Amino acid sequence: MWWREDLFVLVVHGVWRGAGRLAVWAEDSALPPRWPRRPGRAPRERPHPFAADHSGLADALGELAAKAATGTVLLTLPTRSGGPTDSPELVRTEPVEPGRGPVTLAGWRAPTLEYDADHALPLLLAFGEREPTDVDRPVPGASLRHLARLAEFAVELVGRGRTLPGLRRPTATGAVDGIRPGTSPGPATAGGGAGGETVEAVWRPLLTGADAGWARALTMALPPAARSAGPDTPPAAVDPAPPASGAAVDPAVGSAGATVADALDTLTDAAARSALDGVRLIGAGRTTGADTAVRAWLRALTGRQRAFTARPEAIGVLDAELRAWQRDAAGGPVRACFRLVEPALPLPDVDPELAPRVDPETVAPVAPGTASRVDSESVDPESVVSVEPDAGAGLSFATAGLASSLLALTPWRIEFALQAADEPSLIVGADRIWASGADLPALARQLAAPQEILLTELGRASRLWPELEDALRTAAPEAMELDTEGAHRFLRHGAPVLHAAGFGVLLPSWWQRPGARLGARLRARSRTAPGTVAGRSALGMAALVDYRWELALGDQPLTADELTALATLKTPLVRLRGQWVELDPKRLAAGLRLLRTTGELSVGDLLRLGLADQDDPAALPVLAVEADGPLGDLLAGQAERHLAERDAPEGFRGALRPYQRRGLAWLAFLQSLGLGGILADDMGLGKTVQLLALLAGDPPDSGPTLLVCPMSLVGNWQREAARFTPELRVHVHHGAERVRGPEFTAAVRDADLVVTTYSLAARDAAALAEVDWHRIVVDEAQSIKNAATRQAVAVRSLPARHRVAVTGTPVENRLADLWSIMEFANPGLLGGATTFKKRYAEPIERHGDDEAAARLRRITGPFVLRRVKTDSSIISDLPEKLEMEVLCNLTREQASIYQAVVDDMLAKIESSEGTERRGLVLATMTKLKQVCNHPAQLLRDGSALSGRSGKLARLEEITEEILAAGERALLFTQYAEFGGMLRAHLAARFGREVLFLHGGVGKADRDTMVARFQDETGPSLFVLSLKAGGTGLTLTAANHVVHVDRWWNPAVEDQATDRAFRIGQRRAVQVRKFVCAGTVEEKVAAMINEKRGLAAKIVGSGEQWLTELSTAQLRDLFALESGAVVE
Amino acid sequence: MSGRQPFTEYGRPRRVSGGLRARSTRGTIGESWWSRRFVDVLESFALGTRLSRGRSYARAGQVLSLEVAPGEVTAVVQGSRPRPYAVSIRFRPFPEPLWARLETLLAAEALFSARLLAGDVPPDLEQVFAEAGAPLFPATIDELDQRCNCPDVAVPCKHLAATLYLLAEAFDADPFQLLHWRGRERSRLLARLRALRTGESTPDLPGHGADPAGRKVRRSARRTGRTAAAAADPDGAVAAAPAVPSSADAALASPVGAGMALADLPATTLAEVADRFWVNPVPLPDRPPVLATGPGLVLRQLGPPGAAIGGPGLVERLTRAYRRFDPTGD
Repeated sequence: MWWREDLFVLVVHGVWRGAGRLAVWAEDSALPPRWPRRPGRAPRERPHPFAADHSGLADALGELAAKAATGTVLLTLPTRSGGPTDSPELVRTEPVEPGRGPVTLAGWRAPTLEYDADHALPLLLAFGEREPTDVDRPVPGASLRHLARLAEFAVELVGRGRTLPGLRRPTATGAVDGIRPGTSPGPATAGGGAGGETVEAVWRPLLTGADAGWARALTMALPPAARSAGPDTPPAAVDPAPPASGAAVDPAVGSAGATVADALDTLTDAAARSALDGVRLIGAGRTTGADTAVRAWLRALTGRQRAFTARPEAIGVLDAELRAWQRDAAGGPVRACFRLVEPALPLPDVDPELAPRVDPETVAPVAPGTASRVDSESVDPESVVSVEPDAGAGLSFATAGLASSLLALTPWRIEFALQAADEPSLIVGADRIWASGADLPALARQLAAPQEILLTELGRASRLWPELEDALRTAAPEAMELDTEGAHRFLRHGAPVLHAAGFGVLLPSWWQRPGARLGARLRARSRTAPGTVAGRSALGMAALVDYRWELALGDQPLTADELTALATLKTPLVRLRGQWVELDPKRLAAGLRLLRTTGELSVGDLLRLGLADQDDPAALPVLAVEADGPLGDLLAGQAERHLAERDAPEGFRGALRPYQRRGLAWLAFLQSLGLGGILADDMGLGKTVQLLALLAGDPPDSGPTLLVCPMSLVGNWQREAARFTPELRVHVHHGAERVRGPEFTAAVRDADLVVTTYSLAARDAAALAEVDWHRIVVDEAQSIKNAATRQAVAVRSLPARHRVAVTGTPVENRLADLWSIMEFANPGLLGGATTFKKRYAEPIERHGDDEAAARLRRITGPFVLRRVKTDSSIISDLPEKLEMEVLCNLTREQASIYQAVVDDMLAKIESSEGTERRGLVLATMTKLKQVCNHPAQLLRDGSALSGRSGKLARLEEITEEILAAGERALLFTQYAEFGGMLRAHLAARFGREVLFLHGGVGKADRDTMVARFQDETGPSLFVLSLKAGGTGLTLTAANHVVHVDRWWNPAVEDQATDRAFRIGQRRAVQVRKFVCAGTVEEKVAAMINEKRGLAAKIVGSGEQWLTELSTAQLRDLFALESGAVVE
Repeated sequence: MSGRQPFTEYGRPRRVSGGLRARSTRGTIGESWWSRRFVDVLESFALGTRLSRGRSYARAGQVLSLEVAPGEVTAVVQGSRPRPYAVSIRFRPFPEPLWARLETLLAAEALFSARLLAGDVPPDLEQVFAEAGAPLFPATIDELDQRCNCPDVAVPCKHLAATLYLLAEAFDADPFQLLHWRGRERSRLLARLRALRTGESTPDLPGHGADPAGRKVRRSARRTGRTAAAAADPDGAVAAAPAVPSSADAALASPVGAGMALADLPATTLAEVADRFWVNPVPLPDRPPVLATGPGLVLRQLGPPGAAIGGPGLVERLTRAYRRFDPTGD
C-alpha cells in the first residue's frame, strides 16, 4: 500500500464532570456538521450532530475503552448556524461551508465513555505520553491533552510525597450508574453497625510553593472544553418558564478552579493508590474495638475500596484529629523566612592583595535600627531557593592565592524574617517585628500579632531544624549565629528541609553555582597534531592522547600546594580568592590523588570523561576537558568559528555564503577527527548545499556516501545534486523496481551518492550493511528521534567511517531526541539511554537543573552546529527575503489522475475551437493544478487526505520545522476549498489551531483573525486564499510564506508575500513556492525563471496566455515527464 | 459524700450522646510528656478499678462538659443517676508576683513562646517553673482539691478520674491550658510576654492574681480537638478550637487539597472564553523547577498526630506508604 488509510477520523475530547469522573467524547469528521435546519427556536438540548457513537468511541480507544461505562453528557458548546463549531483538531475532508452569524453557546448531548478515578488516570497518562503529532489514532483534543498534564502532575506530586491522607464525604457515586466497574462488595463495615456513617479515605495533594504556582497555571490554561459538561440529568422537559431570551443554556458550568481542583484531588488519590498497589498499611485483624475507625481508614487508604463505615463520633474524632495534625502542612499567608548572610570580612586596607573588596550592602550584618532594609527587598520568586545578588562578583582575585577563611571576623548569620507567602518579595525583618506592637502595617496587609506569628513559625521550624533552638534562647532573636561548619550544615541540610516545608529560604548566590565548586580539569595533548584538512589521517575516537589533571575552582586553576593547604583547613566552607567555596574532604583527597595521575587515554574516553559520574559524592566533578590543537578547538565548541572558511571544492557548482563555508569546514574537520556531527542549522540556511559541497570534496576513491531521507525529499536531493554537483554519480535506491543483489552492489560501486528512504533503510538494512560506506548522512534526522523505532535502529547499525545527521529542528529541546540522534552520529558518547535519562533528561526537564544542562551542553556542543537566522554573524550574510522553489513529487495516484486528465482534455481541445477551446484549456490547467495539490481536491469525494499528495507531505514537513522553531507561516492557495482542507488537516496533524481566511469571511471576523495572528499568543499557521488574503493585510508575525499552488503572476504572488515582508518585519522572510516536478507546474516555473520564450507574455497576465498555445505546444507543456513520481 | 447505694455504685452509667470522649482509644491516655507527667501523678495515687473505670468513662463520653479556669477545673459527668454529677478539681494558682517572675523568665527566651505557640512544650519549661518555686505539676495528689457530688466516698472517684484523664488530653491539645489552670490565660500571658519582650509597660489588664473575671475556658460537648493554633489571634485562644466532631454536620473540609491553592482564581464563564473554547485560553508557562526532597518530609514536618488516631504509630504506618511513593526507591 503506498498510502496510509487516513487515520484522522475522530478527535477525542475530555470533560471533567466533577465528583471525580472523567468523560470522553469524540467528534467524527465523517458525520455532517449540522442537522437540517428546523424552523422555530432552538431547543434547550439537541443531540450533537457529529459526535461519535459509543461503538465508534470504543473502537477508537481500543483497550482503553474496556474499563469505561457508557453514558451521555450535555455539553455547552460554541454554536453557529445551528451546529456546534468544530474543534481545530477536527479534519473534514469534505470542505464545509463555514457557518455564519454570531457564535453563541448551546447545549448539545453527546455519547460518552465515563471513567472513574482509578481508570481515568491510566487513560490520561496514555494520552499524555504521545506527541500531538503522532499519527496513531485517535487524535486527542486540547482538553484531553490538558487533563493528561494534570494526571502527570498528580503522579509527580505523589512521587515526591506531596500528598496527605484525609477523609471526605462519599462522592455521589450512587448517582452514577455503572461508573464503578467490578462491583465492589460495599463499604467495609467497621463495627459501627446500623448507626454507622460511611465516609471515604482519600489522598489529597499538598500544593505549596512552586507546586501551587503550577496548579494555578494549569487552571488558568484549562481549555474551556474540559469543563463544558452540564448537569447529569437534562433539565425537565416540561419547564413552564423557558428563559426569556438569549443563551439556551446557563453559561456558567463549573469554574476552571473547581474543575481543576476536583480533577487534581481525584487524580492524586488515584496515583497514590496506584503507587500503593499491593501494600497494606494495616493487617486485617480486628474489626471491633475502640480504634476501628482509624484501622478502617488506614485500610481504605490503599486499594480501590475507599469507603468505610464507622460510628459518627469516631469519624468525627478522626476527622478533627487529622485536620489538627495537618493544619500547618500548607502554611499560612505569612511564613518565616531564613536568610543566610556571609561573615563580614576585614576591610581592604588590611591587605589589599589578600583581602578582597567587600560589598558592605551584601554582607554587613544588619545593625539594629536599620530594620527596613530588608523590607520590600526584591527577591526572585521564581527560583526554588532564592539567591541573593552575587556577592562575589565584584571581588578581585588575590594573586597570592589562598586566603581569608581564617580571617573572617564575624560569624555567619541566619536572619529571621516574615515573608508573605503569595508575594515573596515582601519581607519584614525580625528586628522590626520585635519592635512592633500588636499590629504591623506591613506585608501589604495589616498584620495582627506579628510577634506571635513569627514565634509560631520559629517554633515549627525548630522542630524540623533543631539547631535553631539554640538561637531562640534570647528574648527577641533576630538571627542565628553560626560557625562555618554550622553554615555548611544549614546549606546542605537545613535549607532544603525548611524550604520544602514551606518556609522561605534565601541563600547567597554562590551556593549551587558550579563556579564555586572545586573540580577537575583534564588537559590532553594529541600525539600527532592532525591538520585541519580533511583526509584519511583521522584521529578517531580510538586514537590515544596524553593527559594530565588540573584542579580548579571555577575558572581558576589551583596548585598542588594550594590544595594541600586547603586540605589542612578541615573546614567545609572556605573563602578562596574572594569567593566562598564548598570543600568536601573526600573530594579534596580525590583531587590530590588525581593530580598524581597522568597517562594516556583514547579520544572517546576523553570526551566521555565530561560525563563522569556526578552522583558519586567522592568524585570530583569534571569541570572541563581541554586539549591542544584541533581537538582543543573542537572541545571548546569553537571549531566552527576558528576554522578557516573553506572554499567550495572544484566539483561544486555554485556559490557558498560565508557561514556555509564555515559549516563546510566544520564538517570536514569533524571528518578528519573521525567524529560524527549534527548539522542543525535553521531551515533555509542551506544545509543541503553544505553537504553537497562536502561530498564534492571527497577524494575520488573514498567510497560512496549513503543518504537517508524521507520519501518526499528523494527527488529534491536528486535534483539538487544534479544542479550543484553534476559530476557526482547518484544512485537512487528506492521504489519497487530498485535493483537488488549483485546489481545493487554494482550500482553502489559506481556511485558517489546513494539516496534511499528511511523505510527502505530499515527494510534493506542487511544489503545496505554489506557496503563499505564512506559516509552516512541522515536528512531530517528527527525521523530517528525515537531510538526504538525500526528505522532508527537500522540506520544506527549501518557501519560507516563518517556520520552526519541533518535536521532543521532544534534538537536540544527534546533530550530524548537528542540522545537518539547523537547515538547515530557518535555512538556511545552520551552513554546508555537509561543512564542518560536519569542523569540528564529528568534533572533538566523536570527539575530545571542548570548544572546538568551545562554539562550536557559541554559534551554535545562540539558535535552540534546550529546557526540561527538571527545570529549576527549569519544575518549579515542573509538576504532579507529568501525565495525558494520547492520541488514536490507526485504520488502514483496523482500521476495516474494527472495522465488521465491530460489524455481526456487534449482530445477535447483538439476537436474544439474558439471560446470553447479557451475554456477547455483553462479548465485543463485548473484540473492539473488541483491534481498537483491533492487528488481529493479534484475528485471532490471527501476522501481521506493523508499520504496521497507529495505537496501535502512536503508541506507537513516544512510546517513541522516552522512550528518546532516557534515561528509562524502564511500558507497561500488560490483555491478556497483546498484552503479549507489544509486548515482541517494541519490543525489535526499538529493539534493546534489554524486560521483560515477566505472570501466568505466577513470584515469583522477577518480583523479578529489578523489581530489574533499578530498577537504573541496567537495561532502559528494561517491559511489564506490568494484572493481574500493577498492584499491589504499586515501579517508580520509570520516569517515564512508558502505558496502551495501558483498563480503564475509574480506581481500577485509578491503582493501576497508582502503580507509578511513589510514594515514591522524584523526577521528574514523565507518564501517557498511549491511546484510539482515533471508537471506543467515545473515547466511554467522554468519558463518564468529563465525569462525566455513566453516570459514576456506571461508576466502580469495570469493564465490567459495558455489559451493562445497550439495543441502541440500544449501537449508538451501538459505532458507528465518521467521522474515525476518518486516513491 | 452521701451514703452508699449498691445499685448506683455498680449500676451501669447512663449512655449519653454527644459527650466529651477521650480521644485515645486504647492503652494509656496522655501522649506528650507534659500530659503524661500529669497522668503519672494521677496514676501513682489512684488505686483499684476506679481508675480504669474512669478511663472507660472518659472514653465512653460520659463527661458532658469540661471547663478550665485559673485554679479550678469544673466538669459535668453523667453517672448512673439521671442527674449528672458536678465535678471540680482545684489546684492553687500561682500568686501574681510569682507569675510576674515566671513571665520574666519565659520572656527571656523566645523558644518557650515559640514552642508553646507551635503546639508543644519545650522540655525545660518544667525546670524553669520548678526553679522559680512554681512546680507545674502536683507533687502529690493532695495538692489537688477534688470534689464530686456522687455518692462514692473514694477520691478520686471514677467521675473525677474521667475528668482528670480528659484534662490531660486537653493539655495535649493545647499546652496553654495547663498554664491557664495555674493562673494565666493564654491571651493575657501572650500580651505580657510581648510587653516584656518589647520593653513596653505591661498592658494594663485590670486586676492581678487570677485572670479578670476569672475567665473560664470551656470545653463543651460540641467542641474538642486541638485548638487551632490561632497564632494570628492571640485572643482567640481556645475559643478557636475547631468545632467538630459530630460528623453529621461537618464538611470534612481539609487544610490540604488542590482547592486551597486554587480558591481565589478568577472565575470566567464559558461565554467569556467562547472564542478560545477548544484551546488553552492563556498559554501554559514554562514549568518552574521543583526541588526534590525525600517523600517522607511532610511527615517530619507535621510531627506526630494525636493519640486518638494512633500518635507516632500512625506516622510509622504511613511512612511505609510514603516510601512506596518514591519512584526512585525500591
